[in-house]
Amino acid sequence: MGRPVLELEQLRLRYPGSEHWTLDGLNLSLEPGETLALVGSSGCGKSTVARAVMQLLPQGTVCEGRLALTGQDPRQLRRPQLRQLRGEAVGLVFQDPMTRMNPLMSVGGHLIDTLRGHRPHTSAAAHQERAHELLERVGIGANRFRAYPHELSGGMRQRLAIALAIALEPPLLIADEPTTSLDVAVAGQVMAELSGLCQEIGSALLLISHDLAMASRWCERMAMLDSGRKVEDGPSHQLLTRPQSSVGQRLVASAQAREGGRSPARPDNGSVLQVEEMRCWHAVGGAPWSPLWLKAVDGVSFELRAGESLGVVGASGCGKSTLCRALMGLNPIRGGRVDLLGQDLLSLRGEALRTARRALQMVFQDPLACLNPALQVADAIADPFLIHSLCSKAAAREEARRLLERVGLSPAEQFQDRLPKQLSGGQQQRVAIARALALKPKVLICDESVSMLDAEVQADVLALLRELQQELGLAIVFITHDLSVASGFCHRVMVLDQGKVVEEGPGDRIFSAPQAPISQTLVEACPKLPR
Amino acid sequence: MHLPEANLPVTRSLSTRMARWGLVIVGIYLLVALITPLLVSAGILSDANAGLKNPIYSGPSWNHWCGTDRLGRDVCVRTMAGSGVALQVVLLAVGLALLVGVPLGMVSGYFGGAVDRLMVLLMDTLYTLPVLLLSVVLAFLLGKGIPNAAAALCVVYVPQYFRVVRNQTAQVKSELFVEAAQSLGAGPLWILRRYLFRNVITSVPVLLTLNAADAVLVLGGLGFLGLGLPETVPEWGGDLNLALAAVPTGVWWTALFPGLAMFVLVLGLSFLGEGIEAWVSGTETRPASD
Repeated sequence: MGRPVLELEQLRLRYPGSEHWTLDGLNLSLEPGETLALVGSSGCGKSTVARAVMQLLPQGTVCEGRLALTGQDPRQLRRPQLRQLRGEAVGLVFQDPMTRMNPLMSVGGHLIDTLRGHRPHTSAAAHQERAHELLERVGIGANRFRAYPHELSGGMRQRLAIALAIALEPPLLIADEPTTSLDVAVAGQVMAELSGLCQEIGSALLLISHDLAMASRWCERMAMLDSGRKVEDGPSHQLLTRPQSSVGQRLVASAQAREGGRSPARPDNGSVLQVEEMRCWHAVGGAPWSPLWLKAVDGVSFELRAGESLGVVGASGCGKSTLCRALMGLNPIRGGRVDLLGQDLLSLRGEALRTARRALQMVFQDPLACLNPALQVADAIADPFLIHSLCSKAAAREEARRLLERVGLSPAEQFQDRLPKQLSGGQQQRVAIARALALKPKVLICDESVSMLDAEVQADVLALLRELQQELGLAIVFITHDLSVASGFCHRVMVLDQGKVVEEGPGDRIFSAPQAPISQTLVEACPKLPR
Repeated sequence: MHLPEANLPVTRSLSTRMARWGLVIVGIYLLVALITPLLVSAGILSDANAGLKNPIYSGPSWNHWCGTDRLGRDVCVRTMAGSGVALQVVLLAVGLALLVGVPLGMVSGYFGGAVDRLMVLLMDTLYTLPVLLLSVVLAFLLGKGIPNAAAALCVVYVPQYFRVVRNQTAQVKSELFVEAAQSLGAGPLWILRRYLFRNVITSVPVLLTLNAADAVLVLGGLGFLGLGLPETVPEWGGDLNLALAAVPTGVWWTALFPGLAMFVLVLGLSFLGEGIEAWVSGTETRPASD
């Protein structure tokens, strides 16, 4: 083989205003055509590697050590050459494709813009032809040439990002958490496309991910980072079956714990929530007398016992989010029956409904977005008491401190006066859980509550939920697209497809022997750790 | 790293310097406004309207630092007293506009629908009228006096606050934390007060200082036209009008000092506004730490 596409030797990097080195003596090299996964918990510096290679660093960053990209050091280049290098030597695929696209530029426009920027002397017709060819190759189809980014689904947008990254056939492709915002089935397709294309054009692939199972499925080699240093490097299979370092052992163990294993047996308690034939239909057009219905939730029934958790699993767009929003009263329910602690929620109005709903609380997907950015953590948790005027302000704050301790943010004095953005993702989600628990609910709805957290933090938050469930007898509706998480955490799992329940039963049974076609797809797409 | 962008730190320090100067200027005016009545009542300064004993149109001298005007009144005392009047009217006007505009904007933005459309229509109609024309008509209708002048100015500025706050509210209300509050059982008033208020109010301070600068000018314009305040109240605009007739005869001091006072106050308030704007947008666009 020729010389390595990427060589890092004793790379040290410090962001402006930061005390410690984000990368602290990193050695890494990548041969042409090799696939390497860079894994590690959040904050270990894995995304910084991508930024350092592209030199997309904020003003005033200190970067020491050897950095060679196809033999050149990007730090020594002037602006025009650097621009040339980005794109031609490295292609980058980001986590969130929507925010990286220009909303006013069509799909084809993006591609032609990139091609024109780097190949100014080629004719417009050739660019056009190449753009069509690229769209076909990544599976978008040339007929979507004139579509705009907002008209594409998340998976399609990520495909477009891949097309842009490979447009100039760079010898190295960096994918930074490319599938985190996609659901399991789509993520599998996108990754298959990505690694297939890399093989086809002979590019090396650097995949940055926190998902060990996904990384091992698509990359033959894996390197693990911890606080800016490489702690493991070797073939993926070996690293996951026989991790050497303590960090590696911890991460692999938590990934295995998350994958769940056996579903616990269903507790034998009284029922707290009964949903019968619930329908949430939205009119999406048509004449007023014969509207065209979008049947987001179409006749879903289930029963939930105290202390039980029910997993609701499905691909995106299957109606699982509408289901929980409807239960929370954020979406109208068109028909059916919802019995909460023996009261029919649909027949209650006004104050009685507000009081009844206290027994039903929700933890959202994005913990930062669901907390008021201007409200201190303790005030955010105290707010439910004040909303329902249950106690005085001082007593509410006292209660909030107690809840903070309860969800593991202790000592409470250290956290109570912080703003949500001053906490880490896992801590934010703990605050959100504390707030949801403030009103002593009987049912907790968790809408993808752990999907934005990395594997280790996920395991912690799940353990907290399980502990709270046992202590308080909480019933949990756990909504997720990740069947492996649901099967380990929930007593029962319900698979939704197009608003209908297609399969129901213990999670481990569905995981090992899925019946419905959609469950089969979900199980297949779900990457598993080698045992 | 490669090409140090030198202009970035410079603009930042320029805006903080501007804000600092603005703060100093406005602080001096506030101080003058506070001590002038005290000095007058202590007998150190003469009354702003007392001029019978003084010579008329006498130039700056040790007795009258800025000279006297057509009625023998001391220009220096009148200019100092004018700063108190200007600040009173402007603060009252802008404060009233804030009190009316912000809640209306929040309600309109949060509830939307027909109420919102009606309110926006009304405010936009007010917005189309030229500021000076509207305030002149209102000042004429409301008569003279400090509260009346403040009310006339207030109506002009209500639509600006309304518009800014309404748009901000409409944007913030779709955020997830509002929905989360709804799911906790919070009513609309609670959400407006506790969840939206602090998140929409951030854009108001900039508007406040810039409007205050504008209001000083409009008040001067009203005074120049003989509207707004009674003749017994010392006011820069009114004094400028009186000074106008004498300027061709070489009496420059009656026009210079009130004009300069008005100019520097407007400058100070504008500087303050620009500084706050840079500060607010700077904190907003600063990237989150990784």
